[in-house]
Amino acid sequence: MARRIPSTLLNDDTFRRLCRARDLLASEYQSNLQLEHAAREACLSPFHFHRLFRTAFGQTPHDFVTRIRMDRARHLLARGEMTVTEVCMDVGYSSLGSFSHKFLTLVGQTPSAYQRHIRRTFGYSGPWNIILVPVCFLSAFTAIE
Amino acid sequence: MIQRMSHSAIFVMDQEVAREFYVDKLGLELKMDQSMPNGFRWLTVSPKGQPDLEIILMKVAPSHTMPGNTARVQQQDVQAIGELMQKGAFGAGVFQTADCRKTYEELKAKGVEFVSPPKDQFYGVEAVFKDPFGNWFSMTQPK
Repeated sequence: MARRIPSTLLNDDTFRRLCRARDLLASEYQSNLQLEHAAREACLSPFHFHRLFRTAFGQTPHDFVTRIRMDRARHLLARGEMTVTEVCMDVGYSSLGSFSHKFLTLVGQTPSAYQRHIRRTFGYSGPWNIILVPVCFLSAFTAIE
Repeated sequence: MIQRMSHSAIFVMDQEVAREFYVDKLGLELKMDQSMPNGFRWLTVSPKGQPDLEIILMKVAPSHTMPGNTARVQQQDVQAIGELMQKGAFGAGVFQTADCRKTYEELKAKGVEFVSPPKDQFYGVEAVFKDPFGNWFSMTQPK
């Protein structure tokens, strides 16, 4: 039967409040929303918010926001309509260096190398969204009329 | 070494109905809903407490060859899968909740069909519900 992971099973009310705070973090990813602000949304002190957030979602609030920013950056870079600098600003970074370093750490390529790679693979007007779908699924489950 | 699972699939007969059920009724989070020009729709959801696991709501459809297999899924296969699903042939997973009885009432009020109400088991409290296609799930509050 299911392995017990009681530490992730916070009571319903706390979990709901954490979800509300996480939604706030997700919607405000472009701004530098302070931890205190998100913690207030969850009716918790910043310390407890940080600790419970990690217990509930397996990552810190900061890591969560960073992941959202990088996902958004990958979308924008793949679309090819914005420069790396424009993407950097759009996802809430003020320093191109910090953005590039974080992108390299999480995605494994610099933003410009990533964009070149996408263009080389799909072309400038390619269906950018396809890159997010594993090719095996795409080819196996495409319906035949 | 495999480190983690990022995607798993639940097969569904209709993705629009699936989205309404899994997002609007079960309260899972919509992660991706993108349609390709060729009709392929990549629809994924995640439990709110597990955002790094995406559940693909994959439509059962006549398809090209599967990886490692030359056989194709034909229209009659799709119909057969749908019938098996409705018969309850596919147990699709276990969801965890902090309060099985409370979640049971919430989901029931939203129209989720339960095949078994919350019961005390040696490992916790468990109810069983099914999706509109017949896939069934354990909903467990572990001890």
